[in-house]
Amino acid sequence: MGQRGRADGDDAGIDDGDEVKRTILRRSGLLFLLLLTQLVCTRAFAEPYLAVRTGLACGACHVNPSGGGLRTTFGDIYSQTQMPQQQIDTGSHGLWTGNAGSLFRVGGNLRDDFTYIDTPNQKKSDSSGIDDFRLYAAVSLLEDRLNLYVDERIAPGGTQNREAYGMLWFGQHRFYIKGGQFYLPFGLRLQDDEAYVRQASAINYTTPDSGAEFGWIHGAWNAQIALTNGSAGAAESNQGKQVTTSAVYIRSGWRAGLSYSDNEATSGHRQMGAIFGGIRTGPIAWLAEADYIADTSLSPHMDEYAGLLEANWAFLRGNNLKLTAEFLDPAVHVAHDQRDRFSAIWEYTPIQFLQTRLGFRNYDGIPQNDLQNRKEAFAELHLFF
Amino acid sequence: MVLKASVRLHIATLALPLLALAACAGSGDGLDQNGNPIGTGSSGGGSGPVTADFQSIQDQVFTPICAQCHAGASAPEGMQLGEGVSYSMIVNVPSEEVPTLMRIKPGDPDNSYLVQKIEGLAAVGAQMPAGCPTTQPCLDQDTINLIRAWVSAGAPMATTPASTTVMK
Repeated sequence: MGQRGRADGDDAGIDDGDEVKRTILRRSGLLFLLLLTQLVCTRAFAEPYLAVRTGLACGACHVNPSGGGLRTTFGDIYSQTQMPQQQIDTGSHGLWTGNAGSLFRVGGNLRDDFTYIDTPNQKKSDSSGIDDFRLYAAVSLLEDRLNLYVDERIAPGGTQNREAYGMLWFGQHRFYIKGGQFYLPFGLRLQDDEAYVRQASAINYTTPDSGAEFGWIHGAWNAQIALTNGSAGAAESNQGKQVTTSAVYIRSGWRAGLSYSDNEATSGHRQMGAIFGGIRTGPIAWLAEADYIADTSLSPHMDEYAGLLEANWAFLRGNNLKLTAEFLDPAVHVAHDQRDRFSAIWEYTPIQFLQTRLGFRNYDGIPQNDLQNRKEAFAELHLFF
Repeated sequence: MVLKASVRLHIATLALPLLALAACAGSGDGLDQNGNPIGTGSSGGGSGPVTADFQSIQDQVFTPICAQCHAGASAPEGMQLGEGVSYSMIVNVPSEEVPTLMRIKPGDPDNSYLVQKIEGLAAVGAQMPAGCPTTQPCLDQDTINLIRAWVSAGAPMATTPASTTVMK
């Protein structure tokens, strides 16, 4: 196949002496960069399997301590040196570190998709278009202490602000407080908003909320608690607030966390709990999450379970095979209404800044609902920096 | 082509738990199209053609598609589109993204923000349903036309006796 790097996943655990030394040097360099960034923070972000694979806190790669788009210097360097199959030599330009001047950091993601959808009893459809284009920026007003952060969704559709907050670090960088609009800390922050655990919990990249978040980072522990409007981006319309908290314990080969959310809205009371984690077994990084949601704002009152199990197999350098199985019981008190979703996605990162994704998804629900039984195939071009 | 034993082991390790989890879809026995028990108050029927009246739009569009996200106390933009609450959330209610526009302005589909969103013409954010057309189908033009017809007719809550019908 003409691919460079590791021959296959079978060789991953067989290191000779030189390889061990190179690995130690490489990891030492990465850890040094990590310390430079001084942004070791919280949970998994859009691709939490990478955090599980590396054994690092996801905040090592992303500026946002509770998840978010802009990468740290470490994240930028990791994505250019460790993820691609082949690193293109950029000559005197060196590696992109995200810095635009001494105070500014910038970044972005562009996902362009071609999708084929086969829904029973409906016309088959195929389409191409921008799935997501975002730009991120951060200003360090006081170095390593006071930051201003913006996440702007440029396309598709009209421009839309997703995150905008100020963040103050204190207590030797072990505590922070964030104020503004941001994504809530709950469960695994998966890139796929339509994953059942993200769709059912209604905490995903479409539902930032306004308020404040307090974070604590100490040793292997990361924890946050957020007090927000509970209106998922809408203006506040009541006296009730949403309290969302998450804590995760991170070790090099595994991690486990708990999340809880309580939203006292005018229309009713919504409570959610999640248990989530990840573990690395050789070249496979596993993710799992189970959520329970109870919502009295719906009639009849809703109580549902959602689950996710995902395996990410680094079978060759620059290649990742992602297999995901999901389960949703949208109403625990109703029998025979459960749904599944199974995904198989090949992610190929040939060079830095560029990833292609080929995937297939099979939805399996009650037979009388066509949409719950559709099949999708897609090809995605992902540019990121 | 013979796979190495360790590769076969990895594949088996991947496949077994994933398949086990993904083999539990419901049979749908005793449920309507939207997963509600037939014969209970929560069942709106959810079958048959879409028509230009509110209950049909609720059963065929809002409940099975929109309310997958727009439901509950944490619905995006605070807009719930579930059975029993959607009408009061959209008709003559200002949109969050463009507050100068009503989500549904009776008699004026062109200036109804919900219509703009499903047509992909809104000034802010992406076309709805979320992810369309890349991760799920957009509403077909016939369905959009029926929603426009319902708005043009004044967006009544009650069923209109003579409504346009389109088979999905």
